Amino acid sequence: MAVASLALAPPLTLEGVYAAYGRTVARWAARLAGPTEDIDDLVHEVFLVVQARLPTFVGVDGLPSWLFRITHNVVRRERRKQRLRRWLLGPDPVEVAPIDPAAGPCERVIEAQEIARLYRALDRLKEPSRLVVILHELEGLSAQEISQLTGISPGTIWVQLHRARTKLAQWIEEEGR
Amino acid sequence: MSELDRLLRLAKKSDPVPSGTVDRVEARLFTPRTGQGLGWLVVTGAVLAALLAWPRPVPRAPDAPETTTRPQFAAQRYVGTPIPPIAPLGSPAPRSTPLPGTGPSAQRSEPTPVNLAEVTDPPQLDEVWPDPPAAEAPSVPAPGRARVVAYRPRVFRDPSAFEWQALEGESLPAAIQAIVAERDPSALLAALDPMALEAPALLLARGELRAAADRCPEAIADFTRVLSADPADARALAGRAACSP
Repeated sequence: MAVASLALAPPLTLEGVYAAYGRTVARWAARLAGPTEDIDDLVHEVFLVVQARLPTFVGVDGLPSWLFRITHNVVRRERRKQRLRRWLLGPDPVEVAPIDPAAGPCERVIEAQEIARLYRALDRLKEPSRLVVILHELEGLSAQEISQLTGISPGTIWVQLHRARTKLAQWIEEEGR
Repeated sequence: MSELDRLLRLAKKSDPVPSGTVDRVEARLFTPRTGQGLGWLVVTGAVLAALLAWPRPVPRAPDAPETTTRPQFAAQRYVGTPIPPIAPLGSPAPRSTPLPGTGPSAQRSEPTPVNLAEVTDPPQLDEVWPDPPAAEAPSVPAPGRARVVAYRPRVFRDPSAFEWQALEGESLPAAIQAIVAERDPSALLAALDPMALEAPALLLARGELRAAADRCPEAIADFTRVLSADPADARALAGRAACSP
């Protein structure tokens, strides 16, 4: 996925930012949050924050990384809440968008369980490693693009990616036994 | 291909954003919501109206004397629906006459305002009724003893079941407690009246019962005897102040 780079002329408005980055923010939020979160609520929350902080935002070039930081913070806050909710009330049912529209209900359930299994392993990683794996492996961003979004240097990104993949492979193999 | 690669490829292939998310959030963000402000206005108005309608105490004028209702004596806690006392075997049941100021008509009347300056220390209403000491038993004169025996609980009225003479010292306080438990102040006062009491707890109880029966001179005598032993006794001070003209 390429970061949206539409020409947004100042002064920035919420409508303009949403038209340019609404879809991108929704993808970031969905990827970072995993399959069990309510993506509508997360995106709405992100753009409420954007609306509140937009008057103090200066410059258009840093807009994607600014939006990504807001999205990341909103998702992290929501995941903390969800961890507490899960601890108190038990795990939520897993729901994901269907991969193949022609797939039957049985295939959809199996795919949803596989993705939930992957996210369970991802959730065991530390936050920077989890972020790097999601952006690189699931969103297909290059190290340079991840660096622009997150501020992590490309060298660190590769190191974290390598270590995270090793751990993930081990955890998934252990879980599959 | 490892299991990790397979899972990553599967997750990457799926579109994580549910269909219609962007449009739904756009509608939430940019569609003006009508009626929400009006709803809040109605709710706020209802809460304010409820707060204004809530009853509040009327403030007392700064120069008005501080008055209150007459304090309730501890002994008056037992004034309620009088239970007929237990009659001795073989005799007609005694008729319980309510004391003046304790009957149903008296309870409906307005409480008498009392100047608080005269009441130095209000009585402690939640004091536990003290057990009368067993030492009181030998000093009970014969008519009083007969009265207490008449009102004693049923278990004491069967001589074959209970050794009355041997346990008289223990039986008398138990009989008084039984009368108290029956919530009959007239019977209790009738039992305490002829006794030559020494214990302050019983003197206080009798004084309060006499005060409740508007027999203030006798009540003051009881309270004065208590105060002679303990000049700071709060119940005696309050009782004597309430009985003072």
